[in-house]
Amino acid sequence: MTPASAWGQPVDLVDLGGSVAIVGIGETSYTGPSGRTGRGLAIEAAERAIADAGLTPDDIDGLTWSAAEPALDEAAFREHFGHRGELFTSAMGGGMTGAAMAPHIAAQAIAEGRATHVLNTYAVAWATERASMTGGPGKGHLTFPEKVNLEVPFGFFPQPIYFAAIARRHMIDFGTTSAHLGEIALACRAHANLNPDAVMHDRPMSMSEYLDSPMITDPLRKYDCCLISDGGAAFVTTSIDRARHLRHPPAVMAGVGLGTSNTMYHWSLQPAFTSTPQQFAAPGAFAMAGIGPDDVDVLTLYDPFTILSLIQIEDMGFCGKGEGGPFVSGGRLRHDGGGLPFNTHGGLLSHAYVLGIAHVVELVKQLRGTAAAQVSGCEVAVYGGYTGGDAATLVLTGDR
Amino acid sequence: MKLHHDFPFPDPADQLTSGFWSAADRLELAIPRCARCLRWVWYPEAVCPTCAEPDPAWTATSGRASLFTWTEVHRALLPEYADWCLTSLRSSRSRRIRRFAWSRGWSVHVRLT
Repeated sequence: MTPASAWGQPVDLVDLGGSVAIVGIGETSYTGPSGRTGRGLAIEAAERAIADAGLTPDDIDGLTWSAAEPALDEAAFREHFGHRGELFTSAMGGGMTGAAMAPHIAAQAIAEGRATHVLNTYAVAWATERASMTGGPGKGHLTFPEKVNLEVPFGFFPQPIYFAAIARRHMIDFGTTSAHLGEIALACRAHANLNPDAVMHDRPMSMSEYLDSPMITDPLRKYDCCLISDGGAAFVTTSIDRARHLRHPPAVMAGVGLGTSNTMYHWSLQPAFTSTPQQFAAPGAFAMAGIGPDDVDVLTLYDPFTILSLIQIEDMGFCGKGEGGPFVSGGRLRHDGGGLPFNTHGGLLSHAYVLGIAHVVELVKQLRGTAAAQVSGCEVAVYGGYTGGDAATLVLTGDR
Repeated sequence: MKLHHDFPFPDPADQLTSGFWSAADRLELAIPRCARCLRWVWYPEAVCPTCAEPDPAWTATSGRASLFTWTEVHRALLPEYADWCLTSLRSSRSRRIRRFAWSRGWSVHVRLT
């Protein structure tokens, strides 16, 4: 395990590697403003995930969602599905870090005999809500008094500014360039071009188009920043024994790791300014799964900005700190590039901004062999979820 | 446009952070410092996180700093910032106003030394 350091630490998780698997996945369409609600999207994704597993809503006896964006919480689930049975519940799932933690939360409930089939959902209608500024990524950050009193008045708000400041410092420390960040944007776009479900499916992009795109917060350009989308996804987790009797080959939860930052959402205070708590999460997940970075066949990372993917690739040990720029160059992130296939559905940058839940669904497709940009012989699939104050790594494998 | 009317200006009555703005009124850059262990406590906290001494006192710094990182904001991310960014673009030929624009269109981080 990574030793605890001054700015963050791993969280001890019970080793439940291999005990559960994802057996059903469901998605809505991914779009710009649709006029729909997060709840409506979450319900559609949930219905499809349950059906994909070959189950019925009454079979679901565990439900996880995200407290930050509770599109389908217990009340909404019971109301829509008319479900009156026992329900294990947790608001620590959903998307972002929670999309990586949801299978582990389910595994604990299943190990304790409190649930059999656990449904995790996440959905947003932020493209629809954007016009009224009632939703969106910055909204929650305005609830922190330190931000309101000491960051917003100086213009250090919201996310594109935090991560531009981090990208600049990464460039100063390590010589990272805009073209390095462009490699990440181009890999996501190339994968979206192969994926009919991706918002940017019909929009190819060249490096010169990337470099010519307007600056938003220098050095971050328009195409360094994620989409704002309507959409949602869901997945069902059950025990490995039960999974082997269902319709699809199990996507086994082999390992999970969780890391936290002591400075939470106040990036300007983070001592390791160009790092994420993924550095505390990944070693635990890899140890639980009995793998190392070299064993990973496909990686999806929570990628609101290109720089965050580059940093997490370093933090998870795929290369050394500061070596991310050269590492992602030369097409190494492409699904058929012979390197580290990355965000093969298109990521938050070019697939849809549904905060990581589609990243996990994509890994399940990769393991089933049904992804649009399929990695040949995919057996080990890893998701890195990130919220800022915490990060989590999820290792999924075939049924070995 | 909800945020336009609810723009979160700093609250001068906020107990933890009001000392920063009172010091700024005196043209001082102040940070709370623990009276017992002499550690700077940033962001402000009611008790020192190291030695639990209460009420770290707002203490003027030298104001000297080194540039740590920066970003030039090209696009307003909240409606309230729109004028700031427009100022930055419009006045790029005027040295006097450009300095004004710097203080508004840029986010600059310094490390106090």
